[in-house]
Amino acid sequence: MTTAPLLEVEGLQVHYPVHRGPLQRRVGTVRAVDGVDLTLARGETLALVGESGCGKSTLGRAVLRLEEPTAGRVAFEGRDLGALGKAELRDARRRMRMIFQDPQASLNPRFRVEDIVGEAYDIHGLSRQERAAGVRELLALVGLSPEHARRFPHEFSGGQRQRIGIARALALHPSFVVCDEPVSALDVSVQAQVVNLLLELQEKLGLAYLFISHDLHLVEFFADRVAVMYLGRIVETAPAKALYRRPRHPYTRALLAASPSLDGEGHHRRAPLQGELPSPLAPPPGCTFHPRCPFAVDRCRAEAPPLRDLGDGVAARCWRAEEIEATGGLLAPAHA
Amino acid sequence: MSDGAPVLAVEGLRTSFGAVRAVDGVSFSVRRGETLCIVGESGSGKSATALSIMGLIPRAAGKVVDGTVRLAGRGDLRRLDDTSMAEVRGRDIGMVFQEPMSALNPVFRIGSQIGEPLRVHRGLSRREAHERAVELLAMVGVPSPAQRALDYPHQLSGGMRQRAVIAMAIACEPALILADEPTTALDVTIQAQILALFEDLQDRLGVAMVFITHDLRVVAEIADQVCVMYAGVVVEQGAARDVLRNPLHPYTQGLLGCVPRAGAGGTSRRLNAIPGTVPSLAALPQGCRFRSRCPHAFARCAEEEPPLLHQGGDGRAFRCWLTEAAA
Repeated sequence: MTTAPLLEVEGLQVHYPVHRGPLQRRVGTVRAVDGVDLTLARGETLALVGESGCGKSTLGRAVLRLEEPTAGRVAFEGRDLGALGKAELRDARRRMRMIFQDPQASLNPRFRVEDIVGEAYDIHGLSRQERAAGVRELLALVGLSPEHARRFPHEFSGGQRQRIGIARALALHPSFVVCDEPVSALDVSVQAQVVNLLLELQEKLGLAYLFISHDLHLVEFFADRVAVMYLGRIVETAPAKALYRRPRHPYTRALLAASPSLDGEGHHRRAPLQGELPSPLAPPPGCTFHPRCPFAVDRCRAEAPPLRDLGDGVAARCWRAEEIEATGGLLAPAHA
Repeated sequence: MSDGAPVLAVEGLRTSFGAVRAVDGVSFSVRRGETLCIVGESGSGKSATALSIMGLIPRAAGKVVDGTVRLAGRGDLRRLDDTSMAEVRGRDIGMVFQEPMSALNPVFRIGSQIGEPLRVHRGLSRREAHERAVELLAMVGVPSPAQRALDYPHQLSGGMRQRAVIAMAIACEPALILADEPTTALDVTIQAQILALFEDLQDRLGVAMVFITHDLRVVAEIADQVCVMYAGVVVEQGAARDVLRNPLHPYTQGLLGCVPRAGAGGTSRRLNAIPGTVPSLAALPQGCRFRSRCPHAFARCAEEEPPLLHQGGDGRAFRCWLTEAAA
């Protein structure tokens, strides 16, 4: 891509104050998103993966400014969203939309499908005819029929409800859609239908996706690039193929090793990762992954590594990435 | 690894909720040290099968109408009265469910909950039960078990809670563990830890396991045998390796095609989705239950429901006219 990126995120932070006790004193800060840089080209899919609590959903919401970032800059289609006034931000939002995990919870049960899908037209002041025509077109686009427009969400299956959610997101011709675990709540056979629909729409409409998921195999199939998050930070970013073939960060290696797969047996037995996500209220010093990392040395405990460029579009937040890779991950584990 | 008479043998199990036949003739058996996975989508009847085995179908909602559930040393569980059945649960069969909080009482300490079956079924004193609970927590990999035993459920993470539930399930050294989607609510690294824990416990205790899941990848990881369920019936069963490598039923083939993997669909970059949705059990189609979504359906599929056809002597069976014709 020679043109400017569609989306540019720099140093994005979302910190939440934590209050406790009878006086609600501020006792700390949860660094849900702690300094994230991202770029996304038109028509590209960037996947955000990580375990629950890593901040991937908060990041997705902060990019759309559904969550007010505490620091950092988000530029979309060349405009700094933080510098926009209310009306301008609303205008920018026509082109950046969101699809949610739970289609049941994200659709108003008292609205008909035509009102759910057409709501964006009302907000942005389109005429009734434009709205009706638009709704028809959108329903066809996501594989629903025109007579579905008069029905209520409860009359649909989970997969169909997710199609309604997708139609709503596409109403005002967005160029960018944040998909937050869009198929996690669906049955396996229906997941595949919705995944295919998202791919088809991307090809037809040139959409860029920020695809938030915990399913590494789905991401491998779906994404162009992947960013792995741990405790509010990106620990590795790479083209999808490279990430799966040559994971550089020990956390990425652990995630891949732990993911069950159809062809490999006994992945869980090889999973080297011990322990659980530390509290984001008191992240460990140095590299935040070091308490669970089999390769951690003194430097990792003392000094936080930056996201280092390793060439070929790969970057990892690890002091020992090259060393670990050179030995194929067989480097003698350091003393824990 | 697996030898001798089955620990659990289910034969012709049928369970109805009013007019809806949620489980419609399910048969399988599992031996010592063996893992049998029941895999299916929502409405397949996999959880209803588990509840039927345990005698936990709520009376007001439905009942087991036919079949036998034989547990080694206990005979047909369906013939047991409520008191004996309560004894079976927790002593002979350990249960683990998807949501650990549903199995834990929020107002009791972890240790006393794990010790409860030992006091009830084994007659241990309060102190003995507590000491054993601490040992069990250590056994399932909970760090600082003595301290955790004094915690309340809300003080533990999801993964630790599930470990506590597993400790409770194995407290009385059951012959069988019945686990319904025990890792679905967990992150992938924690899931891997729990799956490894189950295998380790099986190696050490020789316990048989029935593991219910929607995830074929988990089946590939842990199952010796698999039952694929669809709309209340087993459509295919057999050794997990055979079923996953050489699926004979179009539904099993379809489910495997839906699992995302790198390069699926080649240049077209599409998953092989199964069209349509799972039918409602209240309005099943005539004939084969899968036929409306099946790419191979032909006239006979609409006329007659295929029976479970057995192939070879190793327990491989499937419900499909087409495969029968081809075989």
